[in-house]
Amino acid sequence: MSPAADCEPAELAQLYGALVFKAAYRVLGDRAQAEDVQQDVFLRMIEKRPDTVRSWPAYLSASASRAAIDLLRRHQRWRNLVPLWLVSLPANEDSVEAHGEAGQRAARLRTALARLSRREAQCFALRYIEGVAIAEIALMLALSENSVSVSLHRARQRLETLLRDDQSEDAV
Amino acid sequence: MNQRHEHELSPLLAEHVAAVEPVPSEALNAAQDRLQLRLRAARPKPGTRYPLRWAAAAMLALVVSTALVLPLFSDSGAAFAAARHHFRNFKTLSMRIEQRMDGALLQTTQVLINDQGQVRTDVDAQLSIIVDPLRGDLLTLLHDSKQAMRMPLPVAVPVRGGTNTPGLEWLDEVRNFQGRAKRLDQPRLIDGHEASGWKLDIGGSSFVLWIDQQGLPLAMEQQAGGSLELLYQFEFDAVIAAQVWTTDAPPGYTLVEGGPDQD
Repeated sequence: MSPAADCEPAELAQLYGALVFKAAYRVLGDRAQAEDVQQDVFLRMIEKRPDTVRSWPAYLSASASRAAIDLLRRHQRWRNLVPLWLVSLPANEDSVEAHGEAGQRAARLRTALARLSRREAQCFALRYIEGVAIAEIALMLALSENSVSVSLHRARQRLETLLRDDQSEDAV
Repeated sequence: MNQRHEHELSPLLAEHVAAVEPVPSEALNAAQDRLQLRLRAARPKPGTRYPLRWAAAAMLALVVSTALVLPLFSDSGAAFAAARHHFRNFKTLSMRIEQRMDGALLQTTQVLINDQGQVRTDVDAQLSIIVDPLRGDLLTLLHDSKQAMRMPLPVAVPVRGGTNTPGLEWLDEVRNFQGRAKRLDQPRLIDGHEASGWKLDIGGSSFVLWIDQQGLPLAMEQQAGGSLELLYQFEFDAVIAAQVWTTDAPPGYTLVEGGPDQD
Protein backbone atom coordinates (compact mmCIF):
# COMPACT_ATOMS: atom_id res chain seq x y z
CA MET A 1 0.00 0.00 0.00
CA SER A 2 1.24 3.44 -0.78
CA PRO A 3 0.72 6.40 1.53
CA ALA A 4 -1.82 8.81 0.07
CA ALA A 5 0.19 11.76 1.28
CA ASP A 6 2.63 11.12 -1.56
CA CYS A 7 0.03 12.08 -4.17
CA GLU A 8 -1.52 15.50 -4.52
CA PRO A 9 -5.15 15.58 -5.69
CA ALA A 10 -4.17 17.84 -8.61
CA GLU A 11 -1.62 15.28 -9.80
CA LEU A 12 -4.08 12.47 -9.40
CA ALA A 13 -6.66 14.49 -11.28
CA GLN A 14 -4.24 14.89 -14.15
CA LEU A 15 -3.48 11.19 -14.21
CA TYR A 16 -6.90 9.74 -13.49
CA GLY A 17 -9.42 12.55 -14.02
CA ALA A 18 -10.43 11.08 -17.37
CA LEU A 19 -10.96 7.67 -15.84
CA VAL A 20 -13.23 9.15 -13.18
CA PHE A 21 -15.20 11.19 -15.70
CA LYS A 22 -15.70 8.16 -17.96
CA ALA A 23 -16.89 5.97 -15.11
CA ALA A 24 -19.37 8.61 -13.98
CA TYR A 25 -20.53 9.44 -17.49
CA ARG A 26 -21.30 5.86 -18.39
CA VAL A 27 -23.44 5.48 -15.28
CA LEU A 28 -25.15 8.84 -15.58
CA GLY A 29 -25.23 9.51 -19.34
CA ASP A 30 -24.96 13.23 -18.73
CA ARG A 31 -21.93 15.46 -19.17
CA ALA A 32 -22.76 18.01 -16.51
CA GLN A 33 -23.56 15.40 -13.91
CA ALA A 34 -20.47 13.37 -14.75
CA GLU A 35 -18.41 16.52 -14.42
CA ASP A 36 -19.94 17.23 -11.04
CA VAL A 37 -19.09 13.74 -9.87
CA GLN A 38 -15.56 14.09 -11.19
CA GLN A 39 -15.04 17.33 -9.29
CA ASP A 40 -16.72 15.93 -6.24
CA VAL A 41 -14.40 12.93 -6.10
CA PHE A 42 -11.24 15.02 -6.19
CA LEU A 43 -12.51 17.82 -3.97
CA ARG A 44 -13.40 15.30 -1.31
CA MET A 45 -9.80 14.17 -1.39
CA ILE A 46 -8.75 17.72 -0.56
CA GLU A 47 -11.16 17.80 2.34
CA LYS A 48 -10.20 14.37 3.64
CA ARG A 49 -7.34 12.30 2.34
CA PRO A 50 -7.78 8.53 2.32
CA ASP A 51 -5.33 6.87 4.70
CA THR A 52 -3.86 4.25 2.43
CA VAL A 53 -4.62 3.35 -1.15
CA ARG A 54 -3.51 0.14 -2.81
CA SER A 55 -4.27 1.26 -6.33
CA TRP A 56 -5.31 4.76 -7.29
CA PRO A 57 -7.17 3.76 -10.47
CA ALA A 58 -9.14 1.15 -8.54
CA TYR A 59 -9.83 3.51 -5.66
CA LEU A 60 -10.92 6.33 -7.94
CA SER A 61 -13.05 4.08 -10.15
CA ALA A 62 -14.85 2.83 -7.08
CA SER A 63 -15.31 6.39 -5.79
CA ALA A 64 -16.64 7.56 -9.14
CA SER A 65 -19.08 4.69 -9.54
CA ARG A 66 -20.33 5.10 -5.97
CA ALA A 67 -20.82 8.86 -6.37
CA ALA A 68 -22.53 8.37 -9.73
CA ILE A 69 -24.84 5.70 -8.37
CA ASP A 70 -25.69 7.91 -5.41
CA LEU A 71 -26.49 10.78 -7.74
CA LEU A 72 -28.59 8.52 -9.92
CA ARG A 73 -30.52 7.30 -6.89
CA ARG A 74 -30.93 10.82 -5.53
CA HIS A 75 -32.34 11.97 -8.85
CA GLN A 76 -34.70 9.02 -8.87
CA ARG A 77 -35.87 9.89 -5.38
CA TRP A 78 -36.11 13.49 -6.42
CA ARG A 79 -38.34 12.60 -9.34
CA ASN A 80 -40.73 11.09 -6.86
CA LEU A 81 -40.83 14.31 -4.88
CA VAL A 82 -40.71 17.24 -7.23
CA PRO A 83 -43.83 18.58 -8.85
CA LEU A 84 -44.78 17.36 -12.28
CA TRP A 85 -44.10 20.65 -13.94
CA LEU A 86 -40.46 20.59 -12.92
CA VAL A 87 -39.88 17.01 -13.92
CA SER A 88 -41.44 17.66 -17.28
CA LEU A 89 -39.10 20.51 -18.10
CA PRO A 90 -36.73 19.82 -21.00
CA ALA A 91 -33.72 17.73 -20.06
CA ASN A 92 -30.19 18.99 -20.38
CA GLU A 93 -29.55 19.09 -24.10
CA ASP A 94 -26.20 17.41 -23.56
CA SER A 95 -27.93 14.39 -22.09
CA VAL A 96 -27.43 11.42 -24.34
CA GLU A 97 -30.76 10.04 -23.24
CA ALA A 98 -32.59 12.48 -25.42
CA HIS A 99 -31.37 10.74 -28.55
CA GLY A 100 -32.64 7.63 -30.24
CA GLU A 101 -33.77 4.17 -29.32
CA ALA A 102 -30.40 3.17 -27.89
CA GLY A 103 -30.48 6.26 -25.74
CA GLN A 104 -33.88 5.27 -24.44
CA ARG A 105 -32.64 1.80 -23.61
CA ALA A 106 -29.70 3.30 -21.73
CA ALA A 107 -32.08 5.62 -19.91
CA ARG A 108 -34.29 2.68 -18.91
CA LEU A 109 -31.27 0.82 -17.61
CA ARG A 110 -30.24 3.84 -15.53
CA THR A 111 -33.71 4.24 -14.11
CA ALA A 112 -33.72 0.58 -13.14
CA LEU A 113 -30.19 0.80 -11.70
CA ALA A 114 -31.33 3.63 -9.47
CA ARG A 115 -33.86 1.27 -7.90
CA LEU A 116 -31.28 -1.27 -6.79
CA SER A 117 -29.42 -1.10 -3.51
CA ARG A 118 -26.26 0.94 -3.72
CA ARG A 119 -24.02 -2.10 -3.49
CA GLU A 120 -25.87 -4.06 -6.16
CA ALA A 121 -25.93 -1.07 -8.48
CA GLN A 122 -22.25 -0.37 -7.95
CA CYS A 123 -21.25 -3.99 -8.51
CA PHE A 124 -23.34 -4.15 -11.66
CA ALA A 125 -21.95 -0.89 -13.01
CA LEU A 126 -18.37 -1.89 -12.35
CA ARG A 127 -18.76 -5.39 -13.76
CA TYR A 128 -20.94 -4.86 -16.81
CA ILE A 129 -20.62 -1.18 -17.67
CA GLU A 130 -16.96 -0.73 -16.77
CA GLY A 131 -15.89 -4.30 -17.46
CA VAL A 132 -14.01 -4.80 -14.18
CA ALA A 133 -13.31 -8.40 -13.13
CA ILE A 134 -15.10 -9.77 -10.08
CA ALA A 135 -11.87 -10.28 -8.15
CA GLU A 136 -10.93 -6.66 -8.80
CA ILE A 137 -14.37 -5.40 -7.74
CA ALA A 138 -13.99 -7.35 -4.52
CA LEU A 139 -10.71 -5.57 -3.84
CA MET A 140 -12.10 -2.19 -4.79
CA LEU A 141 -15.12 -2.48 -2.52
CA ALA A 142 -13.45 -4.44 0.27
CA LEU A 143 -15.85 -7.35 -0.20
CA SER A 144 -15.35 -11.05 -0.69
CA GLU A 145 -15.65 -12.36 -4.23
CA ASN A 146 -18.62 -14.37 -3.07
CA SER A 147 -20.40 -11.22 -1.84
CA VAL A 148 -19.75 -9.53 -5.16
CA SER A 149 -21.15 -12.55 -7.02
CA VAL A 150 -24.25 -12.56 -4.84
CA SER A 151 -24.76 -8.82 -5.40
CA LEU A 152 -24.34 -9.28 -9.14
CA HIS A 153 -26.81 -12.16 -9.19
CA ARG A 154 -29.41 -10.09 -7.31
CA ALA A 155 -28.76 -7.06 -9.48
CA ARG A 156 -29.26 -9.04 -12.69
CA GLN A 157 -32.48 -10.59 -11.44
CA ARG A 158 -33.90 -7.29 -10.25
CA LEU A 159 -32.90 -5.41 -13.38
CA GLU A 160 -34.36 -8.12 -15.56
CA THR A 161 -37.66 -7.82 -13.72
CA LEU A 162 -37.68 -4.04 -13.81
CA LEU A 163 -36.84 -3.88 -17.51
CA ARG A 164 -39.46 -6.49 -18.40
CA ASP A 165 -42.08 -4.59 -16.38
CA ASP A 166 -41.01 -1.43 -18.16
CA GLN A 167 -41.41 -3.10 -21.56
CA SER A 168 -44.83 -4.46 -20.60
CA GLU A 169 -45.99 -0.99 -19.59
CA ASP A 170 -44.74 0.43 -22.87
CA ALA A 171 -46.59 -2.24 -24.80
CA VAL A 172 -49.94 -1.44 -23.12
CA MET B 1 -26.85 -26.76 -23.00
CA ASN B 2 -28.51 -23.44 -23.52
CA GLN B 3 -27.98 -22.47 -19.92
CA ARG B 4 -26.04 -19.25 -19.64
CA HIS B 5 -22.79 -18.91 -17.80
CA GLU B 6 -23.28 -17.87 -14.20
CA HIS B 7 -22.31 -14.26 -14.75
CA GLU B 8 -23.50 -13.86 -18.30
CA LEU B 9 -26.12 -11.24 -19.03
CA SER B 10 -29.51 -12.18 -20.45
CA PRO B 11 -30.18 -10.91 -23.98
CA LEU B 12 -32.48 -8.23 -22.56
CA LEU B 13 -29.87 -6.96 -20.12
CA ALA B 14 -27.07 -7.26 -22.64
CA GLU B 15 -29.07 -5.16 -25.09
CA HIS B 16 -29.54 -2.43 -22.50
CA VAL B 17 -25.93 -2.46 -21.35
CA ALA B 18 -24.77 -2.28 -24.97
CA ALA B 19 -26.87 0.85 -25.36
CA VAL B 20 -24.76 2.73 -22.82
CA GLU B 21 -23.01 5.34 -24.85
CA PRO B 22 -19.28 5.97 -25.31
CA VAL B 23 -17.87 9.08 -23.68
CA PRO B 24 -17.63 12.08 -26.04
CA SER B 25 -13.98 13.08 -26.17
CA GLU B 26 -14.68 16.81 -26.31
CA ALA B 27 -16.71 16.55 -23.11
CA LEU B 28 -13.89 14.65 -21.49
CA ASN B 29 -11.28 17.24 -22.41
CA ALA B 30 -13.45 20.14 -21.28
CA ALA B 31 -14.18 18.38 -18.01
CA GLN B 32 -10.47 17.82 -17.41
CA ASP B 33 -9.73 21.50 -17.98
CA ARG B 34 -12.43 22.60 -15.59
CA LEU B 35 -11.35 20.05 -13.02
CA GLN B 36 -7.83 21.42 -12.98
CA LEU B 37 -9.15 24.96 -12.61
CA ARG B 38 -11.47 23.91 -9.85
CA LEU B 39 -8.76 22.13 -7.91
CA ARG B 40 -6.47 25.11 -8.26
CA ALA B 41 -9.16 27.35 -6.81
CA ALA B 42 -10.12 24.95 -4.02
CA ARG B 43 -8.91 25.62 -0.52
CA PRO B 44 -8.39 22.63 1.73
CA LYS B 45 -10.56 23.85 4.58
CA PRO B 46 -12.34 21.00 6.33
CA GLY B 47 -16.05 21.41 6.33
CA THR B 48 -16.15 23.94 3.53
CA ARG B 49 -19.08 23.30 1.26
CA TYR B 50 -19.93 24.63 -2.14
CA PRO B 51 -23.20 24.74 -4.01
CA LEU B 52 -23.49 22.61 -7.13
CA ARG B 53 -25.20 23.43 -10.36
CA TRP B 54 -26.65 20.02 -10.84
CA ALA B 55 -27.25 19.07 -7.24
CA ALA B 56 -30.63 17.48 -7.25
CA ALA B 57 -31.97 19.94 -4.76
CA ALA B 58 -30.42 23.03 -6.16
CA MET B 59 -31.83 21.98 -9.50
CA LEU B 60 -35.28 22.87 -8.29
CA ALA B 61 -34.22 26.31 -7.21
CA LEU B 62 -32.08 26.99 -10.22
CA VAL B 63 -34.67 25.85 -12.71
CA VAL B 64 -37.15 28.18 -11.13
CA SER B 65 -34.65 30.99 -10.83
CA THR B 66 -33.29 30.63 -14.33
CA ALA B 67 -36.71 30.42 -15.86
CA LEU B 68 -37.59 33.48 -13.90
CA VAL B 69 -34.65 35.65 -14.76
CA LEU B 70 -33.84 34.73 -18.33
CA PRO B 71 -36.35 37.14 -19.82
CA LEU B 72 -34.97 40.05 -17.86
CA PHE B 73 -31.69 40.00 -19.66
CA SER B 74 -32.92 39.43 -23.12
CA ASP B 75 -33.30 43.07 -23.99
CA SER B 76 -30.47 45.52 -23.65
CA GLY B 77 -32.74 48.58 -23.64
CA ALA B 78 -33.48 50.83 -20.69
CA ALA B 79 -36.86 49.23 -20.11
CA PHE B 80 -35.29 46.28 -18.37
CA ALA B 81 -32.54 48.12 -16.53
CA ALA B 82 -34.53 48.71 -13.37
CA ALA B 83 -35.96 45.22 -13.42
CA ARG B 84 -32.46 43.83 -13.84
CA HIS B 85 -31.34 45.87 -10.87
CA HIS B 86 -34.09 44.34 -8.72
CA PHE B 87 -33.15 40.82 -9.72
CA ARG B 88 -29.47 41.42 -9.20
CA ASN B 89 -29.66 43.17 -5.89
CA PHE B 90 -32.52 41.71 -3.92
CA LYS B 91 -32.05 40.66 -0.33
CA THR B 92 -35.02 38.36 -0.57
CA LEU B 93 -37.22 37.39 -3.48
CA SER B 94 -40.56 35.74 -2.94
CA MET B 95 -42.36 34.05 -5.82
CA ARG B 96 -45.81 32.55 -5.81
CA ILE B 97 -46.15 30.21 -8.76
CA GLU B 98 -49.42 28.79 -9.99
CA GLN B 99 -49.34 25.84 -12.33
CA ARG B 100 -52.43 25.73 -14.52
CA MET B 101 -53.58 23.24 -17.14
CA ASP B 102 -56.32 24.46 -19.45
CA GLY B 103 -56.89 27.21 -16.93
CA ALA B 104 -57.51 24.79 -14.05
CA LEU B 105 -55.21 25.23 -11.05
CA LEU B 106 -53.06 22.13 -10.52
CA GLN B 107 -50.64 23.29 -7.91
CA THR B 108 -49.35 26.34 -6.09
CA THR B 109 -45.71 26.71 -5.19
CA GLN B 110 -44.05 29.35 -3.03
CA VAL B 111 -40.35 29.92 -3.67
CA LEU B 112 -38.21 32.11 -1.42
CA ILE B 113 -34.62 33.04 -2.33
CA ASN B 114 -32.22 35.24 -0.40
CA ASP B 115 -28.95 36.92 -1.24
CA GLN B 116 -27.04 34.11 0.50
CA GLY B 117 -28.26 31.63 -2.08
CA GLN B 118 -30.60 29.88 0.34
CA VAL B 119 -33.79 28.68 -1.30
CA ARG B 120 -37.01 27.44 0.21
CA THR B 121 -39.76 25.87 -1.88
CA ASP B 122 -43.17 25.05 -0.48
CA VAL B 123 -45.41 22.95 -2.71
CA ASP B 124 -49.02 23.37 -1.68
CA ALA B 125 -49.24 22.35 1.99
CA GLN B 126 -47.59 18.98 1.45
CA LEU B 127 -43.94 19.44 0.77
CA SER B 128 -41.16 21.88 1.63
CA ILE B 129 -37.61 21.80 0.33
CA ILE B 130 -34.90 23.99 1.82
CA VAL B 131 -31.52 24.28 0.13
CA ASP B 132 -28.68 25.86 2.08
CA PRO B 133 -25.53 26.03 -0.05
CA LEU B 134 -23.60 27.60 2.82
CA ARG B 135 -24.14 24.57 5.04
CA GLY B 136 -24.19 22.24 2.04
CA ASP B 137 -27.51 20.82 3.17
CA LEU B 138 -30.84 19.98 1.63
CA LEU B 139 -33.85 19.41 3.87
CA THR B 140 -37.06 17.88 2.57
CA LEU B 141 -40.17 18.05 4.74
CA LEU B 142 -43.23 15.92 4.12
CA HIS B 143 -45.90 17.70 6.12
CA ASP B 144 -48.63 15.06 5.98
CA SER B 145 -46.45 12.36 7.51
CA LYS B 146 -44.34 14.82 9.54
CA GLN B 147 -41.15 13.38 8.08
CA ALA B 148 -37.90 15.20 7.45
CA MET B 149 -35.06 13.99 5.26
CA ARG B 150 -31.72 15.75 5.19
CA MET B 151 -28.99 15.08 2.69
CA PRO B 152 -25.70 16.77 1.83
CA LEU B 153 -25.26 18.67 -1.36
CA PRO B 154 -22.29 17.58 -3.45
CA VAL B 155 -19.28 19.81 -2.86
CA ALA B 156 -18.20 20.77 -6.35
CA VAL B 157 -19.10 23.84 -8.31
CA PRO B 158 -17.98 24.23 -11.92
CA VAL B 159 -15.73 27.18 -12.57
CA ARG B 160 -16.90 29.27 -15.46
CA GLY B 161 -15.67 32.67 -14.40
CA GLY B 162 -17.93 35.46 -13.27
CA THR B 163 -19.58 36.14 -9.97
CA ASN B 164 -18.54 32.95 -8.17
CA THR B 165 -21.18 33.88 -5.61
CA PRO B 166 -22.57 30.84 -3.83
CA GLY B 167 -26.02 30.08 -5.15
CA LEU B 168 -26.03 32.76 -7.81
CA GLU B 169 -23.89 31.18 -10.53
CA TRP B 170 -26.84 31.25 -12.86
CA LEU B 171 -26.30 35.00 -13.23
CA ASP B 172 -23.28 34.29 -15.39
CA GLU B 173 -25.30 32.18 -17.76
CA VAL B 174 -28.05 34.73 -17.82
CA ARG B 175 -25.64 37.51 -18.74
CA ASN B 176 -24.63 35.65 -21.85
CA PHE B 177 -28.19 35.21 -22.99
CA GLN B 178 -29.11 36.83 -26.30
CA GLY B 179 -32.67 37.41 -27.36
CA ARG B 180 -35.39 39.89 -28.18
CA ALA B 181 -38.33 41.20 -26.21
CA LYS B 182 -41.50 42.66 -27.67
CA ARG B 183 -43.48 45.18 -25.68
CA LEU B 184 -47.18 44.43 -25.59
CA ASP B 185 -49.58 47.18 -26.60
CA GLN B 186 -51.97 46.76 -23.72
CA PRO B 187 -50.88 47.49 -20.14
CA ARG B 188 -52.45 45.59 -17.28
CA LEU B 189 -53.43 46.45 -13.72
CA ILE B 190 -51.77 44.24 -11.12
CA ASP B 191 -52.66 44.95 -7.49
CA GLY B 192 -53.58 48.49 -8.47
CA HIS B 193 -50.33 49.14 -10.33
CA GLU B 194 -50.21 49.66 -14.08
CA ALA B 195 -47.78 47.20 -15.60
CA SER B 196 -46.27 46.87 -19.07
CA GLY B 197 -45.96 43.45 -20.60
CA TRP B 198 -42.84 42.20 -22.42
CA LYS B 199 -43.11 39.09 -24.52
CA LEU B 200 -40.21 36.73 -25.17
CA ASP B 201 -39.76 33.31 -26.64
CA ILE B 202 -37.03 31.34 -24.96
CA GLY B 203 -36.16 27.72 -25.46
CA GLY B 204 -39.54 26.90 -26.93
CA SER B 205 -41.42 28.58 -24.08
CA SER B 206 -43.24 31.87 -24.33
CA PHE B 207 -42.88 34.34 -21.45
CA VAL B 208 -44.65 37.60 -20.67
CA LEU B 209 -43.01 39.66 -17.93
CA TRP B 210 -45.03 42.44 -16.31
CA ILE B 211 -43.08 45.44 -14.97
CA ASP B 212 -44.55 48.51 -13.27
CA GLN B 213 -43.67 52.07 -14.19
CA GLN B 214 -40.76 52.13 -11.73
CA GLY B 215 -39.30 49.00 -13.28
CA LEU B 216 -40.40 46.67 -10.50
CA PRO B 217 -41.19 43.18 -11.82
CA LEU B 218 -44.65 42.26 -10.60
CA ALA B 219 -45.62 39.09 -12.42
CA MET B 220 -44.74 36.73 -15.23
CA GLU B 221 -46.64 34.27 -17.37
CA GLN B 222 -44.97 31.29 -18.96
CA GLN B 223 -46.47 29.00 -21.58
CA ALA B 224 -44.64 25.80 -20.72
CA GLY B 225 -45.85 23.64 -23.59
CA GLY B 226 -49.25 22.18 -24.41
CA SER B 227 -51.87 23.80 -22.28
CA LEU B 228 -49.59 24.07 -19.26
CA GLU B 229 -49.17 27.60 -17.99
CA LEU B 230 -47.14 28.96 -15.09
CA LEU B 231 -48.12 32.23 -13.45
CA TYR B 232 -45.57 33.95 -11.22
CA GLN B 233 -46.12 36.77 -8.74
CA PHE B 234 -43.05 38.52 -7.33
CA GLU B 235 -42.30 40.32 -4.11
CA PHE B 236 -38.88 41.80 -3.46
CA ASP B 237 -37.09 42.31 -0.15
CA ALA B 238 -39.86 41.19 2.15
CA VAL B 239 -38.63 40.52 5.68
CA ILE B 240 -38.40 36.74 6.13
CA ALA B 241 -37.77 35.09 9.48
CA ALA B 242 -34.41 33.35 9.82
CA GLN B 243 -35.96 30.01 10.75
CA VAL B 244 -37.53 29.78 7.30
CA TRP B 245 -34.08 28.95 5.90
CA THR B 246 -32.95 26.44 8.48
CA THR B 247 -32.12 22.93 7.35
CA ASP B 248 -32.63 21.51 10.85
CA ALA B 249 -35.71 19.33 11.16
CA PRO B 250 -38.50 21.28 12.86
CA PRO B 251 -39.95 20.08 16.18
CA GLY B 252 -42.44 17.26 15.77
CA TYR B 253 -40.86 15.90 12.59
CA THR B 254 -39.17 12.50 12.41
CA LEU B 255 -35.79 12.61 10.78
CA VAL B 256 -35.55 9.88 8.15
CA GLU B 257 -31.88 9.03 7.76
CA GLY B 258 -30.52 8.13 4.37
CA GLY B 259 -33.76 6.83 2.94
CA PRO B 260 -33.32 4.56 -0.04
CA ASP B 261 -29.59 5.24 -0.18
CA GLN B 262 -29.07 2.66 2.51
CA ASP B 263 -28.24 -0.82 1.35
